[in-house]
Amino acid sequence: MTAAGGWYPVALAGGVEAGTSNGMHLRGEEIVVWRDAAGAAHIWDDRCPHRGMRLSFGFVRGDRIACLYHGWQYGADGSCLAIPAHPGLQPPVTIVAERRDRVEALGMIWAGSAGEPGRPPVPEETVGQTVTPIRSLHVDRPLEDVAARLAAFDLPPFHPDLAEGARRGARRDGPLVIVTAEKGYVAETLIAGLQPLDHGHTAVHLAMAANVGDHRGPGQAHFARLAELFRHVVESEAMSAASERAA
Amino acid sequence: MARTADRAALDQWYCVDDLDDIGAAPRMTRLLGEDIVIARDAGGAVTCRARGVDGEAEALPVRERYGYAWTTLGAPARDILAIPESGEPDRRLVKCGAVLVRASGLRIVENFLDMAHFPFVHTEILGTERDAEVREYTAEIRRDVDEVWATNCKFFQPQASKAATGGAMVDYTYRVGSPFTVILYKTCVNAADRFDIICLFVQPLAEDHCRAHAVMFLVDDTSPLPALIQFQQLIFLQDRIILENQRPRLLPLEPRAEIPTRADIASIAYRRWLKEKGLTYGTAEGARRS
Amino acid sequence: MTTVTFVFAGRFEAGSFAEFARHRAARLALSAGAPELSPGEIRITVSGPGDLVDAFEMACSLGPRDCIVADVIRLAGPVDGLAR
Repeated sequence: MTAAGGWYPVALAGGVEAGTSNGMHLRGEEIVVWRDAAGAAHIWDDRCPHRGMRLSFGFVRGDRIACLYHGWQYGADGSCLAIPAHPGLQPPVTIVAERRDRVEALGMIWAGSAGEPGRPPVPEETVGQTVTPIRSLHVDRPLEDVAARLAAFDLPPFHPDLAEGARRGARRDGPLVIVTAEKGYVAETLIAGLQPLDHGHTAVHLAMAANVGDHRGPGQAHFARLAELFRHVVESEAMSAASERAA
Repeated sequence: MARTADRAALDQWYCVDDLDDIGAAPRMTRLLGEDIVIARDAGGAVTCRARGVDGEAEALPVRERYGYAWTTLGAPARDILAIPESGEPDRRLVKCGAVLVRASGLRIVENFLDMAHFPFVHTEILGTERDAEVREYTAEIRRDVDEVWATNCKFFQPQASKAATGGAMVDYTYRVGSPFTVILYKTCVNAADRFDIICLFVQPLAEDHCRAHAVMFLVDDTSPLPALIQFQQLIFLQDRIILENQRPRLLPLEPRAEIPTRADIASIAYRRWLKEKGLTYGTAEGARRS
Repeated sequence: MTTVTFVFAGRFEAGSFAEFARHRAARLALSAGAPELSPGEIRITVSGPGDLVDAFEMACSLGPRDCIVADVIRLAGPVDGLAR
């Protein structure tokens, strides 16, 4: 269990548009992340209680999600609101989809874990700063490997004033790796939110926070390139280690 | 790989290949997790071999029926299901090809018995959201013939078949002849007093993987063959999205984690019948045991 | 509102079936009487909207994994003083 009490980021906030649903894995379990038309995000078990169809294949209409298989409709609180095969029936409140706690923080959507209260960690470095999304990418390595390598990886900051002589650091906070650079009045933070997909696969959701300047465009591109380089290095290290063991 | 111990699954006839595709060159396929080889001998007869329990090649019985080769790994008490209409001289045999599905074959049969999904999965073809109601119908285990039947089924369909020219209330009768074979009798656009017949012969390759052979016996001598096949294939491909994304992957015989309603009565009758037979191949209960 | 007494006949683990029926009645928000168990037969009366009483019948006619339901008899209204 992590310091975050079972909270994990599952997407960048902009990665799930209003009126859409995404199916994904979290610790080997299938979840659906969907955003209603008003913009609120919801995280549920990816399974319709009727006949087990994955709800991520369903369609969002207004504040409801409907299962693709038989059109059963569920409201934001998980309760079933309509069963089209029986149009006269008002479904009881006891027919519900399994929901999970969720919150949006650091430009990411976070999923809670059943029975584990708490909140996702919000690092003090980012307080009062603007968070800019960068990208999400999948790495074919377990979360712990990704976290350790990311904290040790050379991730040069974007702001030109930080190119030389900046105080740089990296630390781990639960499912977050926080990479900082600071010099004088300029401070920049790269936030990597790690999502354990299953035993050997991790999604990395990257955002950056800074106290000066606009980091959309070139700043996003700078860290997106670094992230791809990181993935390439980490996955090839694992491959060559495996072939050495085999040899 | 050891042969499954599931007698209820072993002692059945299975459709394993299209007779038109079988030549002298051996064709590899699978049945209930075992590799089997199908070919024609010098005299043109279809042969089927399995690796056998002790690794020795084992000749399997073969039947040629409805344009397909059938075989079994067990000792079926009954013959391949009879479809008397298939012998009518004006019936057109239409083979729609085989579709591979990453799902339990039992889920495929169950989905074939389901009307409630028409408006959502086959939108504006076999159903429309404007009329999604499943009117009361009957489903029963017919113990005299050991089959499951669903009767008095009615559904509003915008485009019931290739030959249909508009929406209509369509009559369905379903018949499950064996755990992995199912037949649909459906209102025929071209002959008011007869039914089109659509068969699904499921070949379980593994518990969670199968080939579905779709065959039709139609009273329709006007629609061109490719159009008929295309229509059915579109329907099956739409169904496959569902079948491969139901959880659990194998069919649960206990509905604790599900909420069946009266619209699901055919599914319930089918599962009850499987349970009575003690069939576990492709069920969630079978997976728990092993 | 519909009230129906169901008679499920078959091969039962009586306790298992009774637990399943109670769980299902709760899931469907139906009010249910105490199941009346006898060898090879279970009687239970439930009330609620007709479609949900039907849904109760569907789930219980398949039943839990260790029970085989061979027959389902549906009697309108409570029977033999089983009513609450």
